[in-house]
Amino acid sequence: MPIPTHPTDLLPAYALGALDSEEAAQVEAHLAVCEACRTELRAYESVVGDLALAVPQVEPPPALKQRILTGVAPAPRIEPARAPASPRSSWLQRLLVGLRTPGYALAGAGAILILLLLASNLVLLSRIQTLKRQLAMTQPLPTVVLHGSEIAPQARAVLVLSEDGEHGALIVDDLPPLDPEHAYQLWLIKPDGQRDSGAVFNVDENGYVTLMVKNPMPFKEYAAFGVTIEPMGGSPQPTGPNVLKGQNLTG
Amino acid sequence: MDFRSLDDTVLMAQIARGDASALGELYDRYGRLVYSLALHIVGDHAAAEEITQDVFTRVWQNASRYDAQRAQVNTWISRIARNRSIDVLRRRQARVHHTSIEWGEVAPDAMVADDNPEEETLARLRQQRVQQAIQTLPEAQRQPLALAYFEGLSHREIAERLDQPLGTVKTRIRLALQRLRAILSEENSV
Repeated sequence: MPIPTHPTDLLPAYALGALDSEEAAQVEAHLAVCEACRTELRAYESVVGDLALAVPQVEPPPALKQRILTGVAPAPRIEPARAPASPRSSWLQRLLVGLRTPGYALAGAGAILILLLLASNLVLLSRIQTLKRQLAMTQPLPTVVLHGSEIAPQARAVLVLSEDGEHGALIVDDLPPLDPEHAYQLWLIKPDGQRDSGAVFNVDENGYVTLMVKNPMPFKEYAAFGVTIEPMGGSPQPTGPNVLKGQNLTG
Repeated sequence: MDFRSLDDTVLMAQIARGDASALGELYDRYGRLVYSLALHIVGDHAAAEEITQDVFTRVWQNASRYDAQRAQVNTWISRIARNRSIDVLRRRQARVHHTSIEWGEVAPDAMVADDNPEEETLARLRQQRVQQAIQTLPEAQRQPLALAYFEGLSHREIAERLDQPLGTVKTRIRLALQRLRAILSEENSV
């Protein structure tokens, strides 16, 4: 519920990210309708931004800049180098020459038979692997469904887990795109209520996104998963309203 | 193009167009700030490097979403850096015991000179202003402010950590930020 009067006293702590989730959600709701408080908040955000200058300044390693620039630049297209023509004859050519030599014909025929048997075994092995994969695909992967809160009732998400519960991917649909200052953040909620951040993300114009989830612990250790609206870049803990939530029943 | 003459907002627009050289200039301006903050929070050079790389990659990916009306570029970048650093710190604290983080002392010569002495001097003065402003706060306000800023703790968590009433912690943090705002905005308007 929006706070009826201006939450002036809460804005400094909101800028710092020190409010608990409930208070933060109330401030967020008020900010959505109050330009005066948004202006006030920006002043405190600027102060919080300046606090970064209060730490001793340390020069980063010289190579770091280049590493960052290499990481963001599109990788150059590398054409595969054409192998120079070998002046030497290939093993097949040498084998065929050998077969024409009297006395080597029998040994050559034996070698070809062994090669054929090896090839046949490889084909059979490949078929067995394919059948095994198909069999595994008939077992559905564990999933957790996240339902939209009252803020985004139409939104849905599915967290698909690997069979061993070590990896997960999130598929989100119908979440409203956010303004540039905010992002969605996925929270992995432990049984004691502590939260780990799993991902910070935005959705496309259709409200859709798929992404890999970072999980400090196996997924079965978490009781639930939720998504909140946070300032751009994410927050150390939830501060904004919840938009998606689902219980983990896979454990 | 000589990016050094561009202000931050124009530089961001250039980055949004996919100009990696503009990102290089932004790194020259704020790389040290991001790295220093990350190092101060996580206390580990390797992790600070990783965080710095991650921050500038996010800036590159989200430059088109940056809105100058909402925040200055340095505020925006330092917020991303702080959030990422606290995220890393929290993951580690699940395994290692907490180590206390404090505000830096006023250190006039902490920043080394680079190839733009005028800009360097302004940056050093700005840093001194912020450090001196923090030094004017009573220790009772500095301590909860440090826990909130460097560790991302909530009012409630700070009250538990310091064994102080929740209301006291709330008041001290609010007073601290109000005072800093008054001092820094007064100096900005001079």
